Parts: sequence; structure tokens; C-alpha cells
Amino acid sequence: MELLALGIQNVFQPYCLMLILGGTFLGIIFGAIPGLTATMGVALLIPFTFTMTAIDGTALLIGIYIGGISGGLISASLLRMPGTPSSVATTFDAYPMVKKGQAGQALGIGIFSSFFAGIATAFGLALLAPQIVKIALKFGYFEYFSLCIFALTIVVTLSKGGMIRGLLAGCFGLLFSFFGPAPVDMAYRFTFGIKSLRGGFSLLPVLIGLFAVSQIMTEILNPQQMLVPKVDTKNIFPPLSIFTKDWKNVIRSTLIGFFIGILPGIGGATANVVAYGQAKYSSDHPEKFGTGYAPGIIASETANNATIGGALIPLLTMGIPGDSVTAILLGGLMIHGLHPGPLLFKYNPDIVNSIFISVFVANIFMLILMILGIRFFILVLKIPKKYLLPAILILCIVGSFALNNRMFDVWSLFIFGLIGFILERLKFPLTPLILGIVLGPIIEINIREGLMASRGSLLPVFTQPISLVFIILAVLSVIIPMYSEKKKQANKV
Amino acid sequence: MIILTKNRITSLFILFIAFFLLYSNEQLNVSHYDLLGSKFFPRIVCILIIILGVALFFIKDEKIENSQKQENNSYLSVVFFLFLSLIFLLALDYNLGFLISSFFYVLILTFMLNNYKFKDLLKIALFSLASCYVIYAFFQNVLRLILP
Repeated sequence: MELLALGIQNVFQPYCLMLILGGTFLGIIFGAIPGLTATMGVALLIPFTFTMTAIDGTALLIGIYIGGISGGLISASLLRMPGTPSSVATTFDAYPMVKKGQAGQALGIGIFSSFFAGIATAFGLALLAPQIVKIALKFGYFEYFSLCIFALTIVVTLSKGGMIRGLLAGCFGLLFSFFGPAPVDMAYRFTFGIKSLRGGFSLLPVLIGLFAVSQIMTEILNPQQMLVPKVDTKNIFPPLSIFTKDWKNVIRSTLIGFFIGILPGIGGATANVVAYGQAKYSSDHPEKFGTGYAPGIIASETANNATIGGALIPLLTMGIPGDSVTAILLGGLMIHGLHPGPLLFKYNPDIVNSIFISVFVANIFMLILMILGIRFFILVLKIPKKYLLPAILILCIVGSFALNNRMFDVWSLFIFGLIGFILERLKFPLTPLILGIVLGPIIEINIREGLMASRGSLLPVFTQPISLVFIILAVLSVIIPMYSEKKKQANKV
Repeated sequence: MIILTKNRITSLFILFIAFFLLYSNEQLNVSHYDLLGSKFFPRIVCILIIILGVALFFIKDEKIENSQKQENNSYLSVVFFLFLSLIFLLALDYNLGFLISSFFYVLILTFMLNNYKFKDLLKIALFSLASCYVIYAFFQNVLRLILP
């Protein structure tokens, strides 16, 4: 308690609070613009922290992190273009809700969901970090493999009435992830003599291409001059009953996001889709998902903000970054002479507790800034399409190029934009494709290294308790929806 | 006689891609450092795609709604957009520069979205210049990202 009080004292200084506010604001902007991400924001602003103290520097970076993840909600809802990979599933229900003229409601639900998850997991981070990390340490190769297989089976739940198409999209996602260097032996696969393909496809251009560029192409077909004919700025504050009625979804999605955040390498992109899939699977009204249904937004936004608290746990307790942003944060901490791990808690408890308090404060600032900014965000919808779409496209192009400074990423942007456009016309879902691209490398590297460690034996997948649980969940995830679908069809007859 | 429906055409295309990638994968020369090797997963996924592609071949097509029939007529604008984007990418690749390339790209795209009306051309040109320059200045000077 004394250490937490010390943390409060460190953070509640005017300069530090100003940095968190500024960082959160910038983070929201980075997250809201397709092409820019929280990772980029943190990476670009790290040099500015060189002259600051460790507490002030990390407070700024945490503000950007939280703002960046939360800001993805804005473009995901208003434009159907996820600002960050963590907001993919938000587009499924937030955008249809905006199309119905309920933009304020969609953003309000997303903001409060993000805030709740951020605060809840900040508590988890502050109170339970060293205990929770013990569970994460039990995850080995086979546990990761089984978890990712389970996450892939969410494909079945997300494939609305078209399981074959969903599975095909998931398989193509896996196939695209195999382009480039293979894990373990670095063999170049599917390069066809093109040097640029040796690096494979980067996730961000693929994501923006599939969602943003394909959406732009769809809007080109639409003769309407405005993206949304009717814009409603009322009902920003959703009724509390939306959350209290759906309390199981809120808690489950928070736990899914938090837990996935703790596991290094998986990230918010998977968390929001898995949480959405589980929310749909567990719902009494799964047919309403994808039509502008509030629980869909709650699931996605709760999970993606919950990953923040989760990702900070392995970073602070073991020095292992939970995702790409915390990987850069690790660099930021080391620049200030700090070495994350067990010794950080021992020798720098003031810094650790200041980080916990910064997370709380940044979430509060995020809520205030987003609520105050809703009416301005919605004004974007009043800009005619002829001006809005080209501007967004240029930002996407610049964002894709800025990632690795290579033109190949811009080519990928348009290629996947075309692929996304064609797939949507042919009624193929895009989410399984994204899931396949994200999880493919994780599945392959973990099973190959696991088999090397177990000397070729696949038994640990079924004998390790955690792995077995995920395999059983994966099997149930496939069988139960298939059985329910067959039962429904039999009842119709 | 086999009737070629949308699903069947899609299925044939998917099967072609899958067989092509499976063939490319089998041509790969890799040493085996582990039990599975680098060819294993692509092979499995290609085979899965082939199985699913065959299953798709036998699925009945859904009825096409009238709105979808009307959309077919306006794909020309999408084709034009893709052609324009190709020119833009080639211009960037061949060092025409971001500012010049993006200015013309945004100008023509905005003109197209404005239904090719010449009366707003000046406004569109000013918008294109301003937006491209602001984005360029922000990324190049503020964020220190070097653009093409």
C-alpha cells in the first residue's frame, strides 16, 4: 500500500499528468487513423523520452499505448476500417450500428467497454502480476499450439451459415502466412523469384488492404455522396443496462483479453476476434451478431483493452514483452537504465507502482478525451466521400510504407485490397483470413520446436493438462455449432 | 453437361491456385532439421483447400438479388480505380516522388468520385494539393519518416 501511495505521489505531478494526457491524445489519433498504430506511435515518441525521468517517460508511452488501442474503435466504427489490428472484430457490429444512424451509441458503447476493461485489468496488473505470471510460465510449445488451434476453430463460429467459405478463408490466411522465410530453417517459401517476397507479408498492410482498401472500393460502387446518410450525435452515454444485462459477456471478454495479453506473441488482434466469437457462441441470439448488436461491440472492445494490462505483466515481471508495443516499451525502459524482470520489483518498486498508476490515469483520460471528442469524430461522417476516401487512402499508403520503408508493403496493401473486395463479393468472410495470417506462424513455430523438444512425440499435445483442455475446447467449438446447425435444419423440415 | 455456377467457377479457381501452390511447395529444396520440415504445413493446408474447394463445387448458389445485378454494371469504376492505383504505384516505384504522384492520384480519384464534373475541378485540385502536402509535411518533418 505504501508503494502504491508512492506511485500515486510520483504520477500525480502536473508535468507527469500532462504527459499522460498528451500521450493518450496522440495515441487516440494514431489508433484512429488506418495505417498508423499504437506500435508506431510508441516507437516514434520514444526519442522524446530520452531527456525525461524514467517515470515521466514511461507514463507518456503508456498513455500512447492505451490511447492507440482505444482509438482503433473510431475508424472501425465510423468507416469500417480498423485503425489497429485489435479493432477488427469491432467493425462487425459497430459499423452496422453507425449505418443505422446510431454512431453516438456505437462509439459510446465501445468507449465505456474499453474503459471498464482497462480499469479492471489495471487492478489485475497491480494486485496479481507476480501470481498470474506463474500460470503463463506453464505455457510451453504445445500449450501455445493448442491455444492457437482453439482460436482458429472460432472460424467455425464466425462463418455465418457458410462454413466451407469460412474454412477456406482461414486456410488461405494460413497459406499467406507461409509466404517468406519458414521458422526453424529459414527456407524461403512461395517467393517465385521475387526478392521482396522473401520477407513475407506484413500484417498491417494486409489488414488495412483487406478492410480499408476493399471498403473504399465498395464505396466507389455506392452512388451515395455521403458514407452514412443520417448521423446521430445523441445517445453517447449508453444505458448501464446494456452492460449489466450482458455482464457475463463483459467479464468473459475481459478475461479472454487479459489472458491472451499475458501470453507473449499472440496480441490484441487475436483477443478481440476470439472474444467476439465466444460472445456469439454463448449468446441466446447469435443471429443478431453482425447486424449492429451491442454485445458484439462490448466483446471486441473489452477484450482488446484488456490485453494492455495482460501484456504489461510478462513485461514487468519477466522482461518478456507481451506484444509489439510492449516490445518497444521494453526498449524504452532499458534506455532509462531499468531492466524489467523480478529485480525491477525489488530495486525499483517506485517505478513499477508508478506504471500501475499511470495505467489507471491513462484509462481515465482516455474515457474523458473520447467522450469529449465523440461529436468531433462523428463530424468525419459529414465530410463528402469524394474528399474523405482519397485522404484516408493516402494515409493508408503512407502508413503501410512507413512500417518497413519498403514499397512492397504498399503493393501488398492494394493486392489484399483487391483480394478482400473479391472475397466479399463472393460471400467469403474476411476474419478467418486475418486469423489465419496471425496464427499461422505461431502454430507452425510452436509445433515444430515442440516436436524437436519432445524428440518427435506428439503425445504432449494430449497429455499436458493445459494443452488437452484447449484441444477439447477446440473440438467442442467445431462440433457444437455444426450439430446446432443440423438440428435447426432438421426442425425446419 | 456441367453448369458453371458462381460457386463452381470460384471452386475451379481455388483448386487451380491450390494445385499450383502445392506444386511450388513440392519443388522447394529444404534440409530436414526437424520432424516436419518447412514443406509440411503448406502441403497440409493446400490439401485442405483442395478438399474444401471440391466441397464448394457441389454447393448450390444463393439467389442473386436485384441490387447485386445492378452492381455488376458499375464495376467499371472499380477497374478504373485499380488501373489508377497501378499507375500511382509504378510512379512511386520509378522515383517520381510522393508529392507529385499522390497529388495526381488524389486529383483524379476525387474527380472520379465527383462523377467527373468539371465545375468543381479547381476545388478538387486545391484539396488534392493541400491534403497531400499536409500529409507529406507531417510524416516527413514531424514524424521524420522518409517517404518515397
